[in-house]
Amino acid sequence: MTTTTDSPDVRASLSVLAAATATHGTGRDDDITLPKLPGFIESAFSPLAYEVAARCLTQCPGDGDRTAVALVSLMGDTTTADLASLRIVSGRVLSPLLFMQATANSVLGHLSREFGITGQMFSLSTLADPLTELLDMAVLLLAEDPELDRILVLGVELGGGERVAAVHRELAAAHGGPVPSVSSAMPASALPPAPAGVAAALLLGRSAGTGRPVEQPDAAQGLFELTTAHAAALPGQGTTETETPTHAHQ
Amino acid sequence: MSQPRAPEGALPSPELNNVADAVPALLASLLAGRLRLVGPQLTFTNACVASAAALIHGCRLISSGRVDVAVCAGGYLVEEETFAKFNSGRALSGDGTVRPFSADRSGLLLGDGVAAVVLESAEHARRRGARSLASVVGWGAATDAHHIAQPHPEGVGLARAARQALRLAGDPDGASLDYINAHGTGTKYNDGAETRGLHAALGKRAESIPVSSTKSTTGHLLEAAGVVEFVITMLTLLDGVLPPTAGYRTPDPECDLDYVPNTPRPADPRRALTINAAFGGANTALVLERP
Repeated sequence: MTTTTDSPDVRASLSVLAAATATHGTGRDDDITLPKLPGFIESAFSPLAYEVAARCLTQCPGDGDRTAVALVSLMGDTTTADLASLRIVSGRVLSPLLFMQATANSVLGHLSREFGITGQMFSLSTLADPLTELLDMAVLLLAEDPELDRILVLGVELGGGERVAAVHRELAAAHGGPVPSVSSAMPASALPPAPAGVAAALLLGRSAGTGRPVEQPDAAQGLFELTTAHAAALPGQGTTETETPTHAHQ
Repeated sequence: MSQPRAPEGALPSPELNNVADAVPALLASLLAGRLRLVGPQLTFTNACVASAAALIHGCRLISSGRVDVAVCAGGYLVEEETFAKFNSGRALSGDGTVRPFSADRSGLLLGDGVAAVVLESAEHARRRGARSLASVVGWGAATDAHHIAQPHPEGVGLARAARQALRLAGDPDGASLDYINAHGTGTKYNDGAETRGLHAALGKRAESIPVSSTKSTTGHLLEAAGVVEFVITMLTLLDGVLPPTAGYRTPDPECDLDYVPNTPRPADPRRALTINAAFGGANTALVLERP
C-alpha cells in the first residue's frame, strides 16, 4: 500500500477499557498454566490468545455485536505448523486437530462464540511494529465503522525450535536488527523453544474526550509492555469508569 | 501513516525468499520494496477471508483519507501440508469434482491462483487521468459467533456482512444487485448456510438475483479466494457474462437460488456482490459497480 498523507496522532481518540498479558514457559515468575480449550491441545498459541482475550472481555463486558477483534502474530502458530510438517515428512496421518488449529481463525471463532462477538474478527502478520499497526487499526475501525464501539487487539508469539530460530536470524540480518515483536523485552527470537509464548491484549474503545492525548509508543516498547503498564494502572477493571487513555509512558 | 517506514525504493534481500513461506508478512514487504510502496504493509492471515479483508481494509484506508492508493494481492498454491490438513478434516470432494449448491456436493477442492488489484480514490484517479475498471461502493464484515470451524447454519454473519455492504452502497434491499459471486465451497455446511444467509439479507429479492460459485472452476484458493473472486466479479461486470456454477447436477431443496448452472449466461450487470466466509465464522462482503 502507498500513502500520501501523514495521519495525525489520532490515537487520543482511543481509551483502554481492559488490558491483560500472559506468558507461558518463559521462566518468568508469573508464567501461567495454559487454560484448557477443547480441541486446542497441540500448541500454546490458541490458549494464550484465549487467556488474554477472555480476561479483557470478562473484566469489561460489553455488546458483542459492536465489538471487533484483531490479532497480530509475525509467524502465527509455529508449533502447529512445525508439527504438521514433521508428521508429513515422517509419513504419518495428520490429526484433524491440526486442521482446526491451522489458522488463528479457530480460536477467534471460539472467542466469538463464548463472548457473543459478531463484529469483524481478523488476524495479521507484519514486519512493522505490531503495536503501532494495531493501534492504527483500532483508530481506523472505530472511526470508519459506525457499528463498532470496541475493538480487542491482541498479539501472540511463540518460542520456536530450529526452524523458527533460523527464520528470525535471516530476518534480523536483513533488517539490520531484531524484527519488531509483540514484546520488546521478550522477542520471539529470544524465547525458549515451544511451548513458550507471550500474549497481550488491549480492549479499546472511543475516548469520551477526557483522556490525555495519546503519545507515539516508545520505539523500545512493545504491545506486551504497554499492556502491562495499562493493566497495572487499571486496578478496577471491569467498569467503564476505569477507562484511561492509551499512553505509551504510563 | 505515522510510524517509520522502509525508505522508498528499498529492495528486499534476495535471501529472504528462502523464508517467505514461513513469515506471512514477508511477501507484502518484498512486494512493497520492489514496487516502491511506502505505506502500511500488512498481511491478512485470516484464512479464506484474508484477501477480502485486505480489500476492505484498503477501502477503509482510502475512504478515511489516509491513503490514496492501496495494492491488495493474494495468492495460494496447493501444497502437501494444507492438502493433508483439509483431507484430515474430511473437507475435500469425494468424487473429485466441486459441485457447489448441488444436492450431491461432497466437498471442496483446492486450487492455485493469484490476483492483485490497485484500489484508488476516485479523486486520485481523476487527477492522474486513470480510467477506473469498477467502483467499490460497499463493504462489510461480521462474525457468526457460532463454531470454531463450521458456519452458522442460518448464515447469520454472512447476512450481516452483506447488509452492511449494501447499506454502505446506498441500497439496503439489494434492489440494484444484478449478480452475486458466492463463497460456494461445495461443502454441505457452507452452501446451505450461505443460501439461507442470502435469503436473510435480501428477502424475496434473493430469488431473482443470479448467484454463482466460481470455486467450481478455480477450486478453493483459500487466502486468495477473496481477491481472485473480486476480480472475477469485476470482469463479470465488464464483460457482461455471468460465470457459471460448474459441476451442478441435482437441485437441493435447501439451496433454492438461481445458481447459473454449468453454462455462462449473457447479461448486463451493473452492480454485484461478492462474499466470502472462513473458519471461525468470519464473513466478508463487497459491492462493486460498473462505471
